Amino acid sequence: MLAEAAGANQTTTFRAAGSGRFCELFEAYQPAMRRLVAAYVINAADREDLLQDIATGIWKSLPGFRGESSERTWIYRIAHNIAIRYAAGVRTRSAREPMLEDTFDHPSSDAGAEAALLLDERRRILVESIRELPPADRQIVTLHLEGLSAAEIEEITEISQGAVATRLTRIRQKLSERVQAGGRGQ
Amino acid sequence: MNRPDDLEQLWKTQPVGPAMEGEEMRKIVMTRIEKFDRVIRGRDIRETIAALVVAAFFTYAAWRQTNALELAGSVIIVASALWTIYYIWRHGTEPSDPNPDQTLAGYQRALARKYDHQIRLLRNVKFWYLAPMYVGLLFGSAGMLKEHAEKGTLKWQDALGPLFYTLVFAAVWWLNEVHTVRKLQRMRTKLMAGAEEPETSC
Repeated sequence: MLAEAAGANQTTTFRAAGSGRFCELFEAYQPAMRRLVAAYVINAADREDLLQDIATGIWKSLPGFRGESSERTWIYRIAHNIAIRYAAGVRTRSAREPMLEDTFDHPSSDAGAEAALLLDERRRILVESIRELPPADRQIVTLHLEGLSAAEIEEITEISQGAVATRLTRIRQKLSERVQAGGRGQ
Repeated sequence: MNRPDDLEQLWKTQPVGPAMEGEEMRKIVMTRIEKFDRVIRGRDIRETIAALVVAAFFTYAAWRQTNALELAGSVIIVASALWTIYYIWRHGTEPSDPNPDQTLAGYQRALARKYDHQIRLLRNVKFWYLAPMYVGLLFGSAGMLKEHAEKGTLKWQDALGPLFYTLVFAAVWWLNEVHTVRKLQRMRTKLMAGAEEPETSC
């Protein structure tokens, strides 16, 4: 009976500590998670749903996190895996659905507005191009764009640093060309 | 030509929508987990109650039967309803999701195994769920038709019952084995597209 009560106490303590840790992690990585979901799904409602799926995955995996990898690589690994699964299940929606930035205000001057529109267009092309990549390439390039090192990408993907570098060169070249072409009003 | 950090800057300046408090997301997560568990439990309980009702009804029918074929049909249906209850509680619960804290290739393989398991379960529906009950109903119908024939009261309307339940069973079979299996196969194919190691489909 006493052992049971002690066990229940420990669980409660863990849940309380886990809740606090979860909130910290979610708030710290939320912007990166929101960018990541954009690389997998187009629609705003799907993005929110996927973000919640990722948060659920983190919550469920948190008790098993032993600190064998860095917190950052652990979070990204979970997020990408869940996003790939989600994207496989989501039905194809119109590629012409408005992006989130369409709801943002742009500068009022003509030159400023034109520059902002051009920037929006380049961003849209970048995100769309990333979304079209095969899952492993998409994972590598988004991790790279989030600022992770080749060593960290290797830790997440188990693809050697050399192979990561080779792939990144090829992917970056392709993305740059598409963004450049789109920015010129292709 | 883009500068080396140009893509990174474009990527990081994406508008991502309003930020959410960690506590707010924690509450959403808890609600989702509880809702999922409730849905699964609710489904299993509903199917169990339906099977119990069927078993009780046909037990009563068997007790009152004098026709050997109809009696055999009722007994088969009762047995298959009880078997269904056993199967739901023994095999029917969803296999747990693979741990997402692993490499992409490992996670894809684990998910593919889960999809294969679900596809196998759905393909077996005809054996553990539909066939026994259908055979029982056929026996019952055969008994009824035989009795009507012997009494000289056989009418074309007597075929409506068997036709109706055959259509219902065909629809259930189609929904499980064709529609849902195809959907799972599409998801599996999409998931494995671009996987680092080739996998064989089930």
